[in-house]
Amino acid sequence: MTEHTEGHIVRRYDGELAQLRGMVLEMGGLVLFQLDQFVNLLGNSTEKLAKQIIERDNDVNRLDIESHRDVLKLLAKRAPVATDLRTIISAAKVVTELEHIGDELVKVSCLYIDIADSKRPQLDENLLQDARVMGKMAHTMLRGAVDSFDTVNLEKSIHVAQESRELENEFQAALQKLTNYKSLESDNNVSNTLSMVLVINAMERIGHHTKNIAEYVVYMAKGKDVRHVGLDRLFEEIYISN
Amino acid sequence: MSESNHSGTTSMPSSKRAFDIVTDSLGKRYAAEKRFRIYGIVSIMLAIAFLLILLVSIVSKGLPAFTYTQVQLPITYDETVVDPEGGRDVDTLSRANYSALIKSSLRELFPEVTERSELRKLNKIVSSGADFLLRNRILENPDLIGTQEQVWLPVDDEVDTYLLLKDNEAFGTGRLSESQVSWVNRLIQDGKMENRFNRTFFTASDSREPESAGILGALVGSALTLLITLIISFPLGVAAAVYLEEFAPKNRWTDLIEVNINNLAAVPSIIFGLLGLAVFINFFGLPRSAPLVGGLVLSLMTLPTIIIASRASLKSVPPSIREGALGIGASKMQTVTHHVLPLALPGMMTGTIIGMAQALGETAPLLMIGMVAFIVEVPGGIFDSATVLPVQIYLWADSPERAFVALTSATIMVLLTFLILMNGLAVLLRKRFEKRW
Amino acid sequence: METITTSSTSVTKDTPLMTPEKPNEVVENKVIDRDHRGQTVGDVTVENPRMTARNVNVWYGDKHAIQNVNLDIANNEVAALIGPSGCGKTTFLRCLNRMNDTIDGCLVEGEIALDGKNIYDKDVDVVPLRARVGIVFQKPNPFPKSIYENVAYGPRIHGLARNKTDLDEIVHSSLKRSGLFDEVKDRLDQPGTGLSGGQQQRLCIARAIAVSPEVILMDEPCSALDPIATATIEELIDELRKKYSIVIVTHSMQQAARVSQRTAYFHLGDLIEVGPTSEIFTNPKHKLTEEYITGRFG
Repeated sequence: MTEHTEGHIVRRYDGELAQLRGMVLEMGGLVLFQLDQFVNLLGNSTEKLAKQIIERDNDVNRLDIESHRDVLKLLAKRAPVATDLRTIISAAKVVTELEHIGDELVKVSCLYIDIADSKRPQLDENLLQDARVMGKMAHTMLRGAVDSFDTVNLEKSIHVAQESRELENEFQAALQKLTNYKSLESDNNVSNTLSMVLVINAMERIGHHTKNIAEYVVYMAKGKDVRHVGLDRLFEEIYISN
Repeated sequence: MSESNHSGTTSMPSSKRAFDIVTDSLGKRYAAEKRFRIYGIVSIMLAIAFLLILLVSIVSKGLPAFTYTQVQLPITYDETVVDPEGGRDVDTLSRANYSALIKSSLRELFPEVTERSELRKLNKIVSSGADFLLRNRILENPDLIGTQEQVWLPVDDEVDTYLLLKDNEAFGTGRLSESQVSWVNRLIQDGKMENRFNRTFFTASDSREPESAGILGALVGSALTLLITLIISFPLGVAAAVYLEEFAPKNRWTDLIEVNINNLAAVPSIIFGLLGLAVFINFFGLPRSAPLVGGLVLSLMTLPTIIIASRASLKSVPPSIREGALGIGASKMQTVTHHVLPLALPGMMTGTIIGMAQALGETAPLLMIGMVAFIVEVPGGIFDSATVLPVQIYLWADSPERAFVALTSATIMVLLTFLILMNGLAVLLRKRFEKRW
Repeated sequence: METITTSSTSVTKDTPLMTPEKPNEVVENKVIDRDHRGQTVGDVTVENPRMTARNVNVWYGDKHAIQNVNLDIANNEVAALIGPSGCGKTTFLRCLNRMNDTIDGCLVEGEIALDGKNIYDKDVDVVPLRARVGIVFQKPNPFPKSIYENVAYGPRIHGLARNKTDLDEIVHSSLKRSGLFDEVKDRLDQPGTGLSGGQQQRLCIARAIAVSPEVILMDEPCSALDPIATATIEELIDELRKKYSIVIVTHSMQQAARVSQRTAYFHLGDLIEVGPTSEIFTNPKHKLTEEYITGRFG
């Protein structure tokens, strides 16, 4: 554990903070696993895998509720200030972001089940490739963000923010590709392309949420709100000012 | 196995639980507690018993002194005896032979007594101080001359002692002769001799004759002495306490002064008497035996008590009161006079009264400055010779006449009454003016 | 982890009172060497200050109770002094109206100015000073006199009222301002010691403001009070801020957070950090401040 939870005179407080952080990390692990499975789904679509992802979301939701309950309890009981306050608020925000990521994954997994049910032709491998790349990028980012929360490693947070920009570029490129897709005229392809747009959009959203997580880590450590600032400012906040 | 189970500790050598150990030792603990309580009660009972013995012995001995056997005689204020010149001149009146009036009255009562030596014995029944009473009556009211009235006159102390102790076989008739006893018995049968309230005890000063001895002189002497003591020691003591407690810097000098004041309170009082003798009488030439000197000496003795009590009283005023006053801009002096002193005053007065009570009972230092003299006059001022109550007790305790035993105890009772009154006043003051904060 | 412990590097660059030669060190462990401290994190100065303390050192005999403290007290602002017991916050507070003069062996060095005039100058009289800088103590200490007399005492000794009507006016307005008037208006002649703890403390505040001070010092004014009475006093402090400068010492960090605009953290006689209260309680710069307010002091 880090100094963010340790060293209180009231040791129960340490324990409660550590428990909250543990819950966030557990949730992060679950969502990472969901994302990993979804990337697999993109290569090798099976209904079973999609259902697993959807079922996994129940656990994510449970952790979401539990961690919010713990946050409220901590705020009420301990009246946290300074680093403790920032840790707790950040944890609450990170949990929300993770929950959103889980929801995105459930949404696109449902899409997969729909496609399987309607016996529509499978998705174009060419399009899937883009989605897979984005999925893998999002996965790396999310792993980095969860790691940076775990170890309060701001270098990793910066890295996530940088990767988020790459993912954005990838998303724009993939969108461009889709608009120029030659078999757009085909009826089947229209619905497939729409599905594809939804998938890459979901990946983009996941990237965005992940970036937020990384920014909350910076807030937790530094007390500086670095959301909605440019990468340069972020860099400056972390490395230059204390 | 079952032993190792309970309470789960292996470090405890015995299988007993702590609760059992506590229960086992409880009896012993309660017994010790009870024993201690009994010690306390026993010592208090002992103290009360001794006090009771003391009080009972003093009261039983002293009570008779508040009454005195008196004889009712028909006195004719014969103008030829009292005022032969008829000028009603005070000088003549006071020098007249009043005992002749008593003698003639007695002779009329007992006409059968004619023998010269028997007549002398008859005259001895009435106190030798009785003629002063008659003189005072005439001086107060010269119109009585030429008239006759029934007057209650004190008997001789031997008669009083005989009546007090006549049931005692070993006493017999004491120093009274057979004939005197028969006269006394006849007077009692006629209702002309009875035990009446002894006014003399409160209205007269010291005398060689117990029947005409009183405590007024000592009482006034005590009052004057205490007045001087109060006037000197209270302002001085309070001022010293206020300075030391509120203004003086805390350094080695004030520490030294404090230690010395505490030591002074423990100095034997006779040493103050010696000091008074050397300084006030020999050096300043103040009159011996005077309440002024007595008061000065007692002031020296009381000062430490008052200073210590006043300082304690000032200390007990919470510092928050001083800070409160200083915090809104009161000066040091205003803080003390407006807030600290009013709160400390009840305690100071209590201490002063306790000190005064102590001074009232003090004997030794007054012996040194000559307040032990035989003084018949009631002192009229602080420069007159005087004695005080405890010294009076000391003097009478030394006197050979039996009747002085009762007087001594009676004086002790008066002194104790005053001490109790003063202490009661101290308690009352404290209860009444003590402020809660 | 290194990144977050580099506190206090950029703070003193625009405070001319500091000695910039000394580098600010990062406090890594909790054992703090006195020689390597003494620099305050955050801006100790304010614009247009009411009081300014410069290089204040206080000794109680041999004990160096306060070291080189610099702090400004702003107008219409509540400044909270926090810190562990024995850190010198109360000592510093009592320096501000020379209440320390009453303590034997207490030596104050440095300069404390009220409206630009050093109150420790030889020609300054403490009596008018204490009328200008009032103080309210930890334990409510009304005089054992009537409520009216408690409030009237200050104006009376300073001669602030010309007649009885004036005095009544001062007493009533002071009681009103301290929020006590409605509760006690029918029993002004009853002893102030008969009031409840919270009322007594408000009576003490009324007593302090009756002499029209400019600054009010409060030494843990709520430590003996229940939460409701505390809330009443806190509301009163917020109200009084419009007219006075207030310096409050408190052991309750929540209270400091609630009532103050600026917070100063003292530690073992040093002023460690000063800053806007919201800043101190969300993102303190100094490790010691952080450890203290989050309850990590070992």
